[in-house]
Amino acid sequence: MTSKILIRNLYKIYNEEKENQFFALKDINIEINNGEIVIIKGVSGSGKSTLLALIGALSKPSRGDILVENQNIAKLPDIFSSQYRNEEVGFIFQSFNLIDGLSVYDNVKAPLVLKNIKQSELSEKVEEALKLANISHKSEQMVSNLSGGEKQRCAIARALVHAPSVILADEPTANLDRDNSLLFLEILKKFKELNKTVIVATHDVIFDNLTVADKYINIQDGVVL
Amino acid sequence: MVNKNFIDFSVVLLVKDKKEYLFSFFIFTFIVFLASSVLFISDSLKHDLHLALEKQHQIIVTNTKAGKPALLSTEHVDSILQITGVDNVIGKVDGYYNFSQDRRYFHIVVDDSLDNNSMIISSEIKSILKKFHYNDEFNFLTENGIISLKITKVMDSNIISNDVVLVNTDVARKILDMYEDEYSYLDVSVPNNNEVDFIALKIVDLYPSLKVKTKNDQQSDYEHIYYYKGGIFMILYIVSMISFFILLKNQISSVFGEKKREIAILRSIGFAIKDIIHLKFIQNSIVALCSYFLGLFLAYTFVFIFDAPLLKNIFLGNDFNHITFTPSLDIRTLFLLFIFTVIPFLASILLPAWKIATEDMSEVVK
Amino acid sequence: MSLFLLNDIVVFLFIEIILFVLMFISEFSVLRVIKHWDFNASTTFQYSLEKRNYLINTIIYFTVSVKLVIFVFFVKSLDELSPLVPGAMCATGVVGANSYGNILLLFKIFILFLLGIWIIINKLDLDSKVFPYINEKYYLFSFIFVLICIEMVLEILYFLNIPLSVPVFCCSTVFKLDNLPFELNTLGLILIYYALFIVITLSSYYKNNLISLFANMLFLFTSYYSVTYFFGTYIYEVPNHQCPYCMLQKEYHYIGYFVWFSLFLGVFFGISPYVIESIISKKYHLLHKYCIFFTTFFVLLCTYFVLSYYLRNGVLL
Repeated sequence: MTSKILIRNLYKIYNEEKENQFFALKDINIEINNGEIVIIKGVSGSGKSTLLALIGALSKPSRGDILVENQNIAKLPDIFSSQYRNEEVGFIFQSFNLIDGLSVYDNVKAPLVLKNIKQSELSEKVEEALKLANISHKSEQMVSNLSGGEKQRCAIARALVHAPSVILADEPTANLDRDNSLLFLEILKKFKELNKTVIVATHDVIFDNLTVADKYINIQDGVVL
Repeated sequence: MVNKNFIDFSVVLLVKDKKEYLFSFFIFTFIVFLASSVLFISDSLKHDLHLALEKQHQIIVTNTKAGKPALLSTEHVDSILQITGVDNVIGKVDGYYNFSQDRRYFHIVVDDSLDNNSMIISSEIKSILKKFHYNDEFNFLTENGIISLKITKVMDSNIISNDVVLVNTDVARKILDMYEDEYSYLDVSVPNNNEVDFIALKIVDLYPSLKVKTKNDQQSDYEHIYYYKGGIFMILYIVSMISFFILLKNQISSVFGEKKREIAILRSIGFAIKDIIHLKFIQNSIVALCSYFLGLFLAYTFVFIFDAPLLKNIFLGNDFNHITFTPSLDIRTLFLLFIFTVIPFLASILLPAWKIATEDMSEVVK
Repeated sequence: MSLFLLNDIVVFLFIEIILFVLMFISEFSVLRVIKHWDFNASTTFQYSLEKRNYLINTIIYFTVSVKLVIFVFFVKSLDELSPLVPGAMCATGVVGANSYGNILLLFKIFILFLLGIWIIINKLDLDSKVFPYINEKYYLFSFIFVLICIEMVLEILYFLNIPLSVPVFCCSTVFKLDNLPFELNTLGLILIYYALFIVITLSSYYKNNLISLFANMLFLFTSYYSVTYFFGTYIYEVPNHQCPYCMLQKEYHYIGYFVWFSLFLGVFFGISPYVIESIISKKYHLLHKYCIFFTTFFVLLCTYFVLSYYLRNGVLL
């Protein structure tokens, strides 16, 4: 299998060369293959969210490379890193990060408005994503009226709508009850079926010892154990 | 990339946030309204002046004596007729009657279709006479006795006719105490436009005390007067606009907090910095355009339907209470207004849009 | 009473000042970037410089669009001003009212041209992933900014010095030349005009930047005289009416705008490949097709007036 994501000598340093210098990530080296489901385990503040943000080009590293299919996304100018995010990456955040005041449909279609596709094609893709995430019945609802689990499913639909190859989930179960957390594990299986490369950063124990997971990475104090 | 989907989405977001834009929408509409009203008024005045000018002959000759206005005689008429290139010279009676009770001057203009007992007055004069209980007729007090005339018609007051009283030539002569062979000014028609200036010089050559004004001079004069006033207003607007934009900036900064998160969310799903700037630009353009059209519409109604109360007094002074403005819309004026208002508005959102677009995204991962 | 208070002038200067302020703000950022830019550094400071890059881009795109609109507005205002300036019957009198008029017009065109080049280089810079032309881009910008400062000064000097009581010259006096430069007669001029057109088309087709540059510059010069002294007379249908500005007026259906703009665009696209190449030190061959398109349009338009007159009247002027 070709390596989908290759991280070499990755550092993230805050306040570099100042007195209060802080190493959020120190010399990270990780290889992730296509279609793998990777669970990154660590407590709060261990650096796993930072790592995810770097892989998703939400921030830039202080040192090192992040190669996604041999393209180094570490130092891409904004136009290209945004393009990368819009085509290759789907995010699922702990606090869902949906746009209040918009409906589920409008939230899910957001990544697609940047592309120059026909209105009909756009609707098709949105409906497909809503179906996959099992939230089609709430498509016209305002997101503020949804329950936690439903918001999560809306976020999942949005993360799938533009058919990215990589899904990044940051503490996806932190704001969910147990039933919905277990539902998320089912979604992971669906991701596997769709051959998505998934990276989940979490400290939730329900992710331990999953058959569907291909790799476990432990992080503590910014270093891979 | 900006495409139809993107624009639709920008509108959806705009509608969602409409409360935040309301403040700038109203103030901007007001600014457009004020600027448009002033421009509409001055355009309308110019338009009326030009119409009046059309009817005029090429050269108007008046006389002076010891530097003060004086009358012309038939001798002048005959001599000027002799000049080659002059087609016709018509002596006109015209003058001002001092209505001392109200300290106003009435402009006596000749209309020979009237009989010896009638006069036509403007609505402004009608209201003045009404104050003194002259409802159907009016008495002109002259050195030769009282001349009583019936008011047969009231005409609309525009910039030219505001203080005009129309009577026939004989009555005018009586009111103004002018003899048969005396004239207030001469209308000289010169068919060949290129000779006008030359003939004007010739007339002054003949009679050095005469003042000769050509149609072109008159046109320039009119334009100068109204351009001048309009310009002053424009400068006032610039000052008010600048203060508005400062207010606007404060408004925008106060909303920053909630907006930051939303923008970060959009960025995380692939909106580039330039996409966010486009988004903000589209939203503000829509607000600016709506304001522009609404402001125009309100100004049009205010000036041409309600005759601009208050504003016309600032512009023209208190002698013009009954003036009506003839609706005249000019593409040039509309374009000028657009450049004057919408472009500065859009310029002022460039920096805030950039600032908000380049905020750090890691907020969103918390 | 000075011309300053004219509505059009007030608005025009107001917008120019706004644009100037925006460019001034950009220049600060530009100077910072030139001084500290280091693409390979991974510091937060470097990333903030990249963000400033976007601010400058935004401001310039906005400025260029507005400057284009304002330029048309400027030319139109000059025309509208003619009744107020004694002796002027069209924009010629207004432009020629003092010594700053013609320089100002040329300056404006030159600045627009340079801004066009800047936008093309910017696009190239952004399309690559490493900002290769950032220094060239920003030095060019600083140069443009200096020109804009001068332009602002020229504008104020120009408007301040338009005489309102002394008559100015009208186009019949200004453009009454007995000889064309280099002692050409009209026929010679027109021959050169069409010959250059063929050279331009060929050089653009074969993508030879240098020849395209020279041919276009000569063509610009030649076209100015050709349009004013030959083609213009067919637009006005009067043999002695030689004026480049009168054709911008309503009575000629504003055809002047089409004539001059197609010329400027054609020349721009013809000259820019060489200029861009020399700035970025790399081969550049796009845009030639636009040159051909606009120049052809221009030549066809001019020829149309001559042909149309000939076909209707059987003779030439």
